[in-house]
Amino acid sequence: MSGVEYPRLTSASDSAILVEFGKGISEDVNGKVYRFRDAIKGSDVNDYVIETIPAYRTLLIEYDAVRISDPEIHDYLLQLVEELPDKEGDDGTMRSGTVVEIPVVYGGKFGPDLADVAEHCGMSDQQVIQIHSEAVYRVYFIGFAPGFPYLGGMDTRIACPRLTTPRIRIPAGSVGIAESQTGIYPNVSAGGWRIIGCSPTALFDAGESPPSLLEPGATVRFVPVESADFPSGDVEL
Amino acid sequence: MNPHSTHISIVRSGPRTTVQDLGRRGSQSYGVSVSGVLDVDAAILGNRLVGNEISAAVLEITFGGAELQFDRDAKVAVTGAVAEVAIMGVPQPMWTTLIVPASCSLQIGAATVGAHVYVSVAGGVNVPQVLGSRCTHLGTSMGGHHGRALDDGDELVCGAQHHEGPVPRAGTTAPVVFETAYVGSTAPVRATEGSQYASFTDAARDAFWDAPFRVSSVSDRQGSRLEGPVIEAIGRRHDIVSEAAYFGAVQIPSDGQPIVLLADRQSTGGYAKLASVIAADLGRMAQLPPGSELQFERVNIESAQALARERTRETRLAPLREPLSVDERTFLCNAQDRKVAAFMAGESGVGDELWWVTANGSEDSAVFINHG
Repeated sequence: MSGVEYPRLTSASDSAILVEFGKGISEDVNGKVYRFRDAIKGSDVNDYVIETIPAYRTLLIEYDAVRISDPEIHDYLLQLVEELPDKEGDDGTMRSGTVVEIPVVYGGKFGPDLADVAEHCGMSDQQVIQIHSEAVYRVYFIGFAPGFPYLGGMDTRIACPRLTTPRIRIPAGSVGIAESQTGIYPNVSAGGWRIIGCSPTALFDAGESPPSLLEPGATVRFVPVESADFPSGDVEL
Repeated sequence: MNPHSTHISIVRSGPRTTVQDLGRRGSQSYGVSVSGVLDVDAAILGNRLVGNEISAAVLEITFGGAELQFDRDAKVAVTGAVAEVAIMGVPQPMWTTLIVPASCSLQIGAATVGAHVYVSVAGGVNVPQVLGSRCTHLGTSMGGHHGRALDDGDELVCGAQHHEGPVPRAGTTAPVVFETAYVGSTAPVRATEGSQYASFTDAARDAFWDAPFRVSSVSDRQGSRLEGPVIEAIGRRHDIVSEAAYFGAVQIPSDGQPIVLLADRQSTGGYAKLASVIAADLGRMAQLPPGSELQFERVNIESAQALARERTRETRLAPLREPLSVDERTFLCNAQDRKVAAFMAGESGVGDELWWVTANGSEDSAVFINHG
């Protein structure tokens, strides 16, 4: 039995086409998602596109099915995907490569689970902070909640299971670890991630354009700081 | 243009009333839910009946049971789920251009068939736009009236969303008796194969297409949760690498009970999608109240798109039906505290096409006065 060939186009519904660029999570596959998104924006087919939604390995294209049929847009997108440049930079539209730095106050009342994570991983608090803040993370996509970045690239030495019982309220800016993922909560929410710190940087503001500080496909680094002015003044869990 | 805007007073908000429009588009890649009305066809027709842009903000009154007042004569239309509609106690038709006289109450009874009643008001509900839309997303408190459902005593302002063109006169009705198209229909909900259709066993697919499901009581604007036979993915692999979610996607989480994603869905999700409800049946699906039974029917993309185009013609392009002639129209009167009763009739060429019915003190004798 032959494996699935990528990229693969599927009619997800009567008004959406899903394009898959690979099976798993990798920067290479995710890069293709954004290059394809840029290619659509620069093509004639964009007139029929309502919205494109990127994720780890896929791009969903929602289109106006009253004006273009499934086979027509399928053919158009197939042609576009076949012409897609193989590498970043070939099309001149890729991100600048600058790293967005996010200040984080680690531990204490800002990161009540830091000690648990350190104990689980058999290292000191300081080692966890160092490993977490040394890495450069890729924003694979933004989803789940407004401005919530799915970050890739965390060192698995600091991986730690979720809390058994999720917290009812986690302050905006909280930086957490769940299994081998790390993330930052843009808004107050419930959640089961282990909270190791908190950032005063606002990730999402509906009044701004774009509303999200981080663009999908961007890279970020966490910078440890001793203290910070938190906009809400309320960061205690 | 009238410099003064109509104000709406929410006398009684009902179980859940929100300001909605056709959704917050263009921000899903920032994690923002589309949200918007659950029944797009009902909202579009309501807006056309009051001379609004089809995307104007309306009130979505879930389960009905609301009462509204306006500070001036207001042109309104009530569409969607079947409910008793009255102005100052006088029954009024749905899917019809109505005029509610100033300070008179527009009363919406409990929804008897379907779940979501829509009230469109001329000018549209004018709350501030957030990311290009006036709709309310309750989960993130975004948009609408302070990001929340309306409460008794809330005040809203209308305006800024008129359609350019002739304004329908009172008594104008929707192009089709639209409720028969979906509300109360027991026809199967049609769906196409979803993006992970191949992830399900033949037995699971057969069970999905053949079995009756029931809408669970925990359903909300985010999704319609269904109860029925357990639908198993091959190897019980229900989790997928997260990808875009969309209106009508039928997700099957590990408990095997389908969730049909609706307006307030998150932009991405991690469950396998077995099917996708077709655009033409989404409003009907979303209108099914908890406890309703439904069955799915598989259709191909080509038929689904043909049905979508036909529906678009019916709702957006087909001409509205002109009011009945003077001879045929029914005046409604009922003396109330202001001795001004409601009416529903259009009169061509008469000023603001406005007919008042004033009562001379008793409920059964009335004098018609043309205030045109």
